[in-house]
Amino acid sequence: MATSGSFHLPLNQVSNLGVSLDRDGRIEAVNAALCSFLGRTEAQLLGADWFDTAISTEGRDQVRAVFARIMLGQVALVRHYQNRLVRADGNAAPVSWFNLPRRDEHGAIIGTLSLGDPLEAVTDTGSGEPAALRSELDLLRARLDEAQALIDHNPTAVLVLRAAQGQDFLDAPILSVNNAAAALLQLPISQAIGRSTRQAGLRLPWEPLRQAILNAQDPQISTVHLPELHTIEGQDAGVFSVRAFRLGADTVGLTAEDVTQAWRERVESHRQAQFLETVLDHIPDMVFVKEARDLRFVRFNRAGERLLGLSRDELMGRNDNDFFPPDEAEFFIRKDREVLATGGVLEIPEEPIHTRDGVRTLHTKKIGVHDESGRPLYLLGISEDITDRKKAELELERRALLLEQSNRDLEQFAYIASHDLQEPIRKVRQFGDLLAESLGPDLAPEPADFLRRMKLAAERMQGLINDLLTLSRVNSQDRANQPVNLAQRISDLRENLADGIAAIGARVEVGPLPVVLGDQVQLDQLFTNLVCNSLKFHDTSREPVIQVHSRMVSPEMVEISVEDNGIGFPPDEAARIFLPFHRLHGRGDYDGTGMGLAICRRVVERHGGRLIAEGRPGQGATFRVLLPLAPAPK
Amino acid sequence: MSLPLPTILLVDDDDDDVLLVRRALGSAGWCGPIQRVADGQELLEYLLGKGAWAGSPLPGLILLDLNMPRLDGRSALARLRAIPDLALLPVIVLSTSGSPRDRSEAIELGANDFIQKPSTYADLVAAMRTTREVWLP
Repeated sequence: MATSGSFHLPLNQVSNLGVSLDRDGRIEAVNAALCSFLGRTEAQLLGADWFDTAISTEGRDQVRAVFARIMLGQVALVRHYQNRLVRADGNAAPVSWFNLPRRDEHGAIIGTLSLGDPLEAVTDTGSGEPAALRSELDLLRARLDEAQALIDHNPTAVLVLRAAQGQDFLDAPILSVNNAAAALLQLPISQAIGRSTRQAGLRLPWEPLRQAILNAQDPQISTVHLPELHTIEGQDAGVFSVRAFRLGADTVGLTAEDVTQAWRERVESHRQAQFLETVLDHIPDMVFVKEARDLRFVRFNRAGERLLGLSRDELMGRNDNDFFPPDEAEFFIRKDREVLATGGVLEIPEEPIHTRDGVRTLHTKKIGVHDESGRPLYLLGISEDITDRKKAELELERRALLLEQSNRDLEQFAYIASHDLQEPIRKVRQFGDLLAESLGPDLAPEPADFLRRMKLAAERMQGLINDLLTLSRVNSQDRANQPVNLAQRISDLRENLADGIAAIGARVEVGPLPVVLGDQVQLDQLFTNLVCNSLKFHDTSREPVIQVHSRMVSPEMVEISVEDNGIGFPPDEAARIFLPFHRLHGRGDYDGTGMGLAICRRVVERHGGRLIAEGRPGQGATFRVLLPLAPAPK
Repeated sequence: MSLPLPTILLVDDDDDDVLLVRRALGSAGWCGPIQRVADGQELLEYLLGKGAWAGSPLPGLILLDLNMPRLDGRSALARLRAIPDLALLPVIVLSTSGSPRDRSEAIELGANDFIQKPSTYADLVAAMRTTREVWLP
């Protein structure tokens, strides 16, 4: 038997007339009782149009309309129905029908099942229903009870409202409710029925519901699912997903599912995402995250948007190829792959990047994010814009270079100038000598004094030029870097200066001295100048004592001190005494060009050391020289 | 009867220096011939007897300045030492420079001595006296 759907009734087991129609009204199945009632064979009936074949002409359109209503699900209106059937012999006979829709597994109506009783055969059985039909109806009622139980115990609230003509759904009486809906209304079911939702104090999101219901073109059942979640006010119930089902022109079914818990979880996860987003947006460096498969951006912070001049919306879901020149994008992608493959942190100290504001330089760190099984998930990148810093560094470098060049030029100039100045001053002196010799002893006292002063001035100038030349030579000439035995050098120096030491009756004490690394000629000059300085500025009121000692300050550096008990100098002069041509004393008191200590400092600096002067008036001076030690012989 | 005195050859472009050295040599007791050429090029011409210098005797001592136009003292010294007959000729560099580097360079090129031109006339006379006594009979 070709019946299908939710109701499978074996038509031949009932005594009623039985017929099953498809959605077009063609006979799909028919039982023996109906065949014999109509006086036709089953073969004649199957596949035939039911209305053309079996319904009397005058009632045919009406019956078709009833069928159409059943097909639209308006079963309640047409469940019981009477019409007249036309038999094969041409006679018509009234039949009372009980109609049911047949549905497929999705609930869609695919046809009808009808059971009929010829009206002349109807006898009073007490209930007005034929006995066989009654058993079928009991079965159906049991099914309906089951369905009702399912609805009643469903946690989703279900309400059915029926509005009178022109009545607002808000005021429409509640036709039925399930337990969950009654709980929501805080009323027993019996009291809920008949009230409107307004009376019940239930404030549903009516406006969008009403609009959706009214706008539905299909006059039949329509479902409206409001996309937003709605708080049902008047309750502390929380958040609901509300649907409306149009059950008919005046009837609406509503369901309200409590989704508060899911909603809270969503709000919390959104809040956390928002928190992370806020933190990222406050980081002043560009932060981005790419998914590991196609390296598309999945996250981008504000600093990154500003840097690239692109908005998050433009960036999301796209990758480097969409924004950067091919070779640049290729570089970024290669580095991304590298860090995803090797793990750890990859540092790119400098990488150029094209932005809307031109090329910038970034210092980037890339970090691969993997799941617990080591599969790459994301690539995290942090980029600091170092363009300005880099620019400043380059500028500084350029200036340092310029300064160095200018210093070199100046040194070269000083050297050449002093070298070339030497010659004329030498001639001035020599011709002065010749002049004095030629004029002889007969020269009058005054011209003789002029000549003497001229010669002295020339001599002093030559001294200045010589010292200047020495000073510039310390810079301009290559410096040897060899082990220099200081003990030996100071010993030689004492011998060279023996006359000067003896002349003032000075005592020179020398402690153990190391071997340092440097230029012997320059170091000789340094210590000669320092010792001569001490000799020159001795205090005549006591025996001059000059002490030379050493002290290790690190494994690489040694401090040599040259200490005297001479006239000293004010502490605030300590820095200035190293300036070229700087003199603390008048020419009448102490001879000299003021270049000696300047040369000393230049020599020490050229050796990568330091020279410090300490002094107090009347209490002597100490010069501390920091020099690199020669590596110990292996 | 004594042997004729050798010639001292001054190589210097500076007339003042030539005047001073000539006079200082006199003050130092030198009464032999003194010739002067103005640069390295002319020195080589003199030594090879070219042009105006044809027939001039080889000097007994050369006092050579370093910084000169055309051919400077260093180059002249190098070329001179490359000529076998002149390899042993006494050459004293007489220079304004007091730089140790100039000194060692000159000695390496084959100078017999290096004298920094003194600052006073007396010192110049003393230097010329010493030189004469050391290098000339």
